[in-house]
Amino acid sequence: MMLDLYIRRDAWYHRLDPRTKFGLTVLFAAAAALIGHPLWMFALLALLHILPLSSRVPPARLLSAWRPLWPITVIILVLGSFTWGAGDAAVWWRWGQVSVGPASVLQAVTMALRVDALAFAFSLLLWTTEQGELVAGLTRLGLPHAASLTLAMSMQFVPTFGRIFSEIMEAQESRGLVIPRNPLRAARAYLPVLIPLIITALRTVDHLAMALAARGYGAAGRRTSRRQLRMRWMDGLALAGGAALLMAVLLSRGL
Amino acid sequence: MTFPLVSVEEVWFRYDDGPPALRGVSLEIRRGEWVAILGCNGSGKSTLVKHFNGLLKPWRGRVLVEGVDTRRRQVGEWARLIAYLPQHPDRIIFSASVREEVAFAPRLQGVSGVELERRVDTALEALGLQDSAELPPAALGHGLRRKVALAAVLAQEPALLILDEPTNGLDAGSARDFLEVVAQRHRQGTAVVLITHDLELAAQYAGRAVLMQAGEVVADGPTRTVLGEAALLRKAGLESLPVTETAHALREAGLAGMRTDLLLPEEFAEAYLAAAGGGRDGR
Repeated sequence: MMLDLYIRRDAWYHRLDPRTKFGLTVLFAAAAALIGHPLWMFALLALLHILPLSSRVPPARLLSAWRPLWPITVIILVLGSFTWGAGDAAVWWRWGQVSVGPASVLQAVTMALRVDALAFAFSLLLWTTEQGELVAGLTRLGLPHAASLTLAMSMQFVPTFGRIFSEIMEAQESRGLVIPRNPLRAARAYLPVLIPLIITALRTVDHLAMALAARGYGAAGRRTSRRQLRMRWMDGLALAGGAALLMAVLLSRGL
Repeated sequence: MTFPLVSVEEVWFRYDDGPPALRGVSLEIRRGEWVAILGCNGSGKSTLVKHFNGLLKPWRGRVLVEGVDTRRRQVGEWARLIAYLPQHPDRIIFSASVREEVAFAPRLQGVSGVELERRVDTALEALGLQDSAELPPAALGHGLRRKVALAAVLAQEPALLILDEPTNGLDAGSARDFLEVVAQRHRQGTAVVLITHDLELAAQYAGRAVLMQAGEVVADGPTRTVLGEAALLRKAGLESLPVTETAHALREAGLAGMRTDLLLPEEFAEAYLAAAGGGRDGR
């Protein structure tokens, strides 16, 4: 049972300071937002595959990340190719306002890869950073501890609620629920799935709050931390690498 | 030609890229049976029963419900025949009142009017939920939410009722009351598949037991025979019933006439008196 996304490994990316990993995630996200050519975007996506693999994240985990991503990728590719071709000088095919040309296809490929790169940039952070490290990192970056804890827990609970969603779906299908293809009717049909999910989420929040309070969370007095964060030479190197990547992207755009 | 209710033929299954969770499982569930599926955590019990109504589709092999391959219909279409009660009652509860919750599945089957009212009232009465009928089920306590969930699947009036660890979190008395309601429905002809770790409950209610280990069926037969296989149970990560263990110990200690195929305390008492030579009116 997968309770969170973290994969325990004693590997180089895992050992980086969480603040470094936040910094790198922001740099990768900025690069993904700025890159305008599909080849560059493809290179960034390749880098975001090489990094987790080099830190011994199992290839199966990368594949499972692609499972929800590929339908989104295909939708962006198809819709983008047909809708961004209005200003195309060379058009391969046209029907009224809808046209497909090399520029619209290139733009659609870039956009689809951009979404994938963003997803992999954040997955890399969550695959390689324990919840405690996430909290410590965010707190050291100036966020109040309660906010850091909430943010870190929300991110780590995504797969848990994914699993609960599947269980509810199974249970309601067993009672005869069929989700129609019509999106409007489907939205209504999902109510028997979404309501138990919300109720379960609220119960989980209650239980978590009680468990935290029972362990002394929120007690008066100065908070200490077992986890002492320390930047090392590897962090400097990794951040310099990330900054160099962003610089190269900016230069390629002539900025 | 009469088909078994469920026929599982050489089924293999794996989740994502994991190891096989089922390895060539074959069995049949016939009308009116009460089958206990036993095994430790991760042995494949829930994975197996989720194949019965097509929630999971085999990777290899096939599952037939009344002779029809589960791949050929949507899960919801099997709800007339097969009801599934998940481990957590909160997975199904969503309605504003207990009555609405119980009526949800029959409504999806197209049941309405007097028949719908009959089904709902029968299910509520069976579980003693009449007084809670207008309350929001999500606000009830854990034990009552379990009862609401059972009432909701009973109202489907299925030919096969699948219960996945239904007594988890219930005290012994509540667990027994809960299964008595199921037993009443079983006496009216409903087949029951009960997933449980509790061998005493299996001994008391199920006529047949299927023992699973690492995705395989390692024993399938009358509950008395399967629960008497102490070595097999131990290998599958389960402990024999105390009465069975004690009977074996007495026999090994020299009480040659002691029967060992015992499941219930009263059977043990009778067997002991008989083996000790006293009978009821002896010692």
